[in-house]
Amino acid sequence: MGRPTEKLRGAARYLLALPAIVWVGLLVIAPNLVLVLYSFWKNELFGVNKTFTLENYEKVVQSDAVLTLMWRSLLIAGGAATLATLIAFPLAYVVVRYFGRFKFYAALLVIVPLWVSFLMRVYSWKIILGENGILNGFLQSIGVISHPSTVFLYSPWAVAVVMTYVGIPYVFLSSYTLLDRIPPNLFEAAADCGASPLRTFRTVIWPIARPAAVIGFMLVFVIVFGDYVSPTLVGGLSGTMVGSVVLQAFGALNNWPYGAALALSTVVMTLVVLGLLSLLLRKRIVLEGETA
Amino acid sequence: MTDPARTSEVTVGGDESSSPASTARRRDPVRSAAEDVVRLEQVSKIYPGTKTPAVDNIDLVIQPGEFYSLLGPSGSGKTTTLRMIAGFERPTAGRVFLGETEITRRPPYKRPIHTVFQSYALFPHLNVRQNVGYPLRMAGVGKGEIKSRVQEFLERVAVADFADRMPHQLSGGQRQRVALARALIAEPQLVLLDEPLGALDLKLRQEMQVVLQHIQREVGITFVYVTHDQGEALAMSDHIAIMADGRVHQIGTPQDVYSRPATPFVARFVGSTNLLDCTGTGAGRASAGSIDLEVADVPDTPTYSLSVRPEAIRLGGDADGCDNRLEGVVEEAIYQGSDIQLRIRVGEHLVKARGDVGSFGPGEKVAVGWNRADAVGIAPEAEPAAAK
Ligand SMILES: Nc1ncnc2c1ncn2[C@@H]1O[C@H](COP(=O)(O)OP(=O)(O)OP(=O)(O)O)[C@@H](O)[C@H]1O
Ligand SMILES: [Mg+2]
Repeated sequence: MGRPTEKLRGAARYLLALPAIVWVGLLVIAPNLVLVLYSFWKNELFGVNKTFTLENYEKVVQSDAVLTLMWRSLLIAGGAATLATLIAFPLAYVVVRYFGRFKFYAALLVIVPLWVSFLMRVYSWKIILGENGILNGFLQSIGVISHPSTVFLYSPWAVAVVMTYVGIPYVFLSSYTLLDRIPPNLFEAAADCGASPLRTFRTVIWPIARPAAVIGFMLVFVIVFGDYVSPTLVGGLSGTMVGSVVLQAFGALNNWPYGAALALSTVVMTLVVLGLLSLLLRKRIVLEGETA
Repeated sequence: MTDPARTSEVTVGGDESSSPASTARRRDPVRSAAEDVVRLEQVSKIYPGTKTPAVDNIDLVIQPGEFYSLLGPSGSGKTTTLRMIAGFERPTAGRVFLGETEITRRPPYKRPIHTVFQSYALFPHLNVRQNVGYPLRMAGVGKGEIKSRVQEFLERVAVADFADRMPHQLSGGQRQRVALARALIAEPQLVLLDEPLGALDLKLRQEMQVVLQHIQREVGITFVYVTHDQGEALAMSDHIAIMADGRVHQIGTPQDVYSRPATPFVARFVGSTNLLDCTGTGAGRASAGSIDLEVADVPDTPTYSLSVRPEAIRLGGDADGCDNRLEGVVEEAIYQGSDIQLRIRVGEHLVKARGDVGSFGPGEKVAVGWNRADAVGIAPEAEPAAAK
């Protein structure tokens, strides 16, 4: 094949990719660059002074409140992602393995909440955990408590529980799609080789499907770590997370450079966690009927 | 190897006097049940949501060290039978024995039976070495021993050079060998193979047939082999069970099923044959429509099918002196390389025969003959169960 046509092909490829490049550039890279720029500018009473400074970051690092919130967000996001994974991955396994021709409908049931607005999903927990909520009503009716308790709502625990609930469909979805692609005869082959169902899970299914669980975990972590809606709705003061301060900096404080520095700090924090998690993603396993 | 199982005939329950095929078999008086590797007793399987049984009341006896084939057309219930032996399916009725122990309800991972899956089913996250060693790992064998045993079996199936590759980096034939090594390594009492050569091309298929046979003899493990290829079954097996529509039509040695088919179906399915509908007309005589024949080996039913293999039919001058000699006209002559396949009109019958290349052409008159000893009568297609 002649070189000119080859070159043309190369060019055509870039041309085809152009819309995607423009899209990503305009909507992802540019706004983040602006954010980076802001984080190094000085804040002044009526706007921004475009001179380079590190004071925003100093302020972030030196603020005990921010560090506490950062730490708390990490714990809540990590906890919720762990719980969601512990619940959703085995759930997906059971659905794929034992629901036969109903598995698709079962899967649909689990991910149906994704169609409901995020705000609604979080808000509905107020009805469950609140002072006049379902949980209190239930506990009273069986006589465990005599008066409605307020401990369920407005705590870091409430946020963790709600975010676990929010996260389950994501982990389920990523796990289900991979587990469903595992050829059923692998289960039989393992049993045939003398592996009990539990050992089949441990030695065959988990090693193959672990990346799906990890990716689900990452999704939930990212969603929870930067969230400010649910902490506001169900977290109360003790359940505030770092996202709320970012919002505050941009909003009430009207200090955009500080807000940008805060936001970028959370992004860096998230990237560090994702980087560590990606060590758990082993190289891709080629399943039957696929090419490498 | 002077294993009694290889020399003794297979024994099947039920009335043995009713069909000509069963008279060829005898019950070995010294053989006890404990000698069987696997026994299926009146096993049936009806899949949920279906009406007709996939497997319909079959009895099989598989003896130690033998190469046992399940042969039948697509949908005849071979895989279902195999899966019930492996434990992947529960019989709807009947019982499965391993030696003297009933294992009908035992889960697959507790059966000393290993399977070579048609699609190989190698573990995609493990390399060849780990795949082959997996059954030993599950059995709790020590690391050192696993290592040496794996090496031994990799060499035995000639894949030692690929030991560190992942399954997707292997060719079909290599995967096949790895699957075989994995099934053999834990020295199970029985290895089940479900059309293991189905996905391979003809040349590799023939090569692997030899490999399989050699290995089976070498390790002395009983093989139950599913195939719909009659040539393969005839070439490799000690015993063949021929299945159709979930029922066993005949069990016997390759020679048995070829030369003494128990049902018209078996005669047609194993090799090619001419089936003539006959009515007995006195001792040693029969009529097939307009033609009269001399017969020898026929059942005592009033009507029966007479099976005459194409290669038993003599043509032209060779037909002189045959017990049966008829006049025919060649309708079709198909060149086959080493010989020609002829279809000859004899009265209302169309007879298949083989001829030398260039010997006869369409439209030619030809004498057709065969000796009565070369034809076998088959009782009308009764219940195959009675023909066992
Ligand atoms: N899981 C199932 N559910 C319902 N029917 C089934 C199932 N598996 C097999 N069958 C039916 O049972 C019958 C026997 O199937 P089986 O797979 O045992 O045939 P086979 O002899 O192995 O055929 P092949 O040579 O095509 O593999 C077929 O009619 C098939 O449609
Ligand atoms: Mg089959």
